[in-house]
Amino acid sequence: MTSQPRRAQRLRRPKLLIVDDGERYVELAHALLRDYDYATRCALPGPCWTCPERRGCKLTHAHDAREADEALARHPDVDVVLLDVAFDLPEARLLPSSEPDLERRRRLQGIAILAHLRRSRGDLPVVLMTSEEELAFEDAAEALAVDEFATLAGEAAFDARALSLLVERVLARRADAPEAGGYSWGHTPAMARLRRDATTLARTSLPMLLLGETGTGKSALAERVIHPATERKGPFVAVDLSALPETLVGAELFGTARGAFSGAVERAGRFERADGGTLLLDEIGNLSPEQQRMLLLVLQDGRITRLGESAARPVDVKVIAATNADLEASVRSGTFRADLYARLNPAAKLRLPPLRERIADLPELAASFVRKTFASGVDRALLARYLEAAGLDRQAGSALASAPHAELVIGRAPAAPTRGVVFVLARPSLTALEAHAWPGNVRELELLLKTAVVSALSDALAATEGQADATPPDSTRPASRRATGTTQQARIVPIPAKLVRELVAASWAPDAPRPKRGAESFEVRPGTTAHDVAVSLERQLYERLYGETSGDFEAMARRLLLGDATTNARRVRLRFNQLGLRARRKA
Amino acid sequence: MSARDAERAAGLAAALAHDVGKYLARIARNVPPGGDVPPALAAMLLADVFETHAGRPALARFDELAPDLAALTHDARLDEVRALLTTAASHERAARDGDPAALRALASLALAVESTLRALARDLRAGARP
Ligand SMILES: Nc1ncnc2c1ncn2[C@@H]1O[C@H](COP(=O)(O)OP(=O)(O)OP(=O)(O)O)[C@@H](O)[C@H]1O
Ligand SMILES: [Mg+2]
Repeated sequence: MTSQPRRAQRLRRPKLLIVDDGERYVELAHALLRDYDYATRCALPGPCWTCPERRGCKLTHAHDAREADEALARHPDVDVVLLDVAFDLPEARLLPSSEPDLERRRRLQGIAILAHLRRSRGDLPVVLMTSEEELAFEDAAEALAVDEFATLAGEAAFDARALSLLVERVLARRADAPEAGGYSWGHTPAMARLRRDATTLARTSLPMLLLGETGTGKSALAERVIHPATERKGPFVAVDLSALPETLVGAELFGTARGAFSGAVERAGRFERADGGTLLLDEIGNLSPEQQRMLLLVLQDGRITRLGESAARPVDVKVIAATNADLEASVRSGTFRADLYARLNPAAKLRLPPLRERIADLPELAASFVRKTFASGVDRALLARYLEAAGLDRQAGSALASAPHAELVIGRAPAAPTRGVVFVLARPSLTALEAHAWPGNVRELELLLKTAVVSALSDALAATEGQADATPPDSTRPASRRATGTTQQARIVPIPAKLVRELVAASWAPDAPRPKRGAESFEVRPGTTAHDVAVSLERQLYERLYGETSGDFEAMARRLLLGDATTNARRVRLRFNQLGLRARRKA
Repeated sequence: MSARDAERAAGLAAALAHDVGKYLARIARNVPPGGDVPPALAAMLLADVFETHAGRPALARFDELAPDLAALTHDARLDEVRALLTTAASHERAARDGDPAALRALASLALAVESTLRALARDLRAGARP
């Protein structure tokens, strides 16, 4: 990572993978589409035609499904796949299929490869290098119609200019989808404002300050929204200042010269690594005075000095600072430099609302986490296994494999889902989720939902496999199970209300050590006001109650205020936030 | 035509659009309109018109698929395409010798073949839909 030459980082271009039985698309790309990088099955970087070591080897793009797997394993960062549809290959190189007609298998091999890719990569954009007119089979067109990340190239399939426009469109669509880069905005006005401000400020060279409780999505916003919006060519680099021992922070941020301290080696810090790109300083409130001073220097004149070196090096970095602490209070109490704070552009600070203030967005967030859970990895494999076990891995009435797909529906189950699995969350369960305080915010919701759907699906799989074991082997053959009414019913997987209740109840477990009783202390520094003292004591009281009630604001309200506890819980929570306290994240 | 024949005709037309039309036009499409065929593309164009199908010309592939389709439906466009492909064959020598006019002619013939076959496939597909 660090050894990557800077030039390569600056020139990062979209990476395409071409899957074609012949060489023509690659040759066309060679001649006409030179603005992209290409994934090959070879260890050498760059497209084949510029390869200095090319000694009589063939172009090494992917010619069949197996080679496509190889290329994707080598290049997980592929942005778009260009996939041919007809593959004139010997039978042994085609994907296994129950389709008896070899000619038909060859003509539709690309569709089979698409389904194969979808088993592991649910949202990878794929452009099929064909048009409707050449697709001899209607069911192939239907398979494509339900794949939201596949696009038919149509006549652009062989017009280099049209094809590159199409690729750009596919890339752009991915960038401003409702969950652009996996970030859900929802519909609350606060988030709409945040979105606008974040993208506007991203385009400036000014530092940005992100405030919000734990799990509200500060880091995700910085990486998935702000960094791409800067359009800077360099990398996104994050450093969590609360996770680093204080003594290492300086070396980590600014780098070291050989011998700067015992054992120090020549090493670039995160600032240098983020050169040309974006640096997220997470939990900025944790910096020591000396580190604050060094950071101020960087922000003032855009140069850093490695520890143990005297010459400064210029760096061009967009700085994003994030924290869930009350920086203004730290400035007032003197633990955070006022001049550094001023440099962080506090007038334009962005505040991420806690989930309970945007609870109307919960259904949309929930739906996106269900999709995300099953988009890749082991959970996607689980989904594929379930669909197969239930005889649902083929398109209705066809031998064509269909891609695993999962979605969440709230309320009643749809009458007749035709693809993938539909998880159903009953209304009362939604109400229970909406009533929860979500001290861990979006992170807590994501975790809870993921647990809920994966458990529900695992149970459904166990039940299906149990049934299959209990019936004579003959009746479990896929053909006999396929496409019957009861089989289709297996597409609906309810999330049990009891499971939701249990998860919500277990969801909040404070992991930080509870403040020791009687250990309240207050350090009085010169200039401390009575107000500061009062606030500090109040904060300690809230913190203690928070621990004692396991984060139950209603219980806290009962102990702090007179009157209706439910109403008061809101006030307590508000004050809790105002005091700069944060809900601790789950272990 | 029975529904079965209509489906078969649509399938054959799709195969023609792919095996002949697309393979012919994928290079020709990238020739600047009205301009000469750039040297980088000339060899690929020649290969696509005269050697795509295991070394045989597009005309040979057309002659394999078209008669079955003609037996199902009398569409004048099939004759048209065959005439275009025969004309292309008559330019082979000159085009291989690098004659710019012959290469230009090949490119425009290829485009005409492709758009005709594509339209035919579209119509027959529509006819096959219930
Ligand atoms: N708007 C969102 N859309 C999709 N996912 C989100 C969103 N906000 C947060 N998440 C997810 O929630 C989790 C927590 O988000 P993130 O790490 O950005 O929070 P944070 O505010 O940086 O928390 P901390 O203060 O603890 O560092 C991540 O998995 C992130 O992907
Ligand atoms: Mg974070």
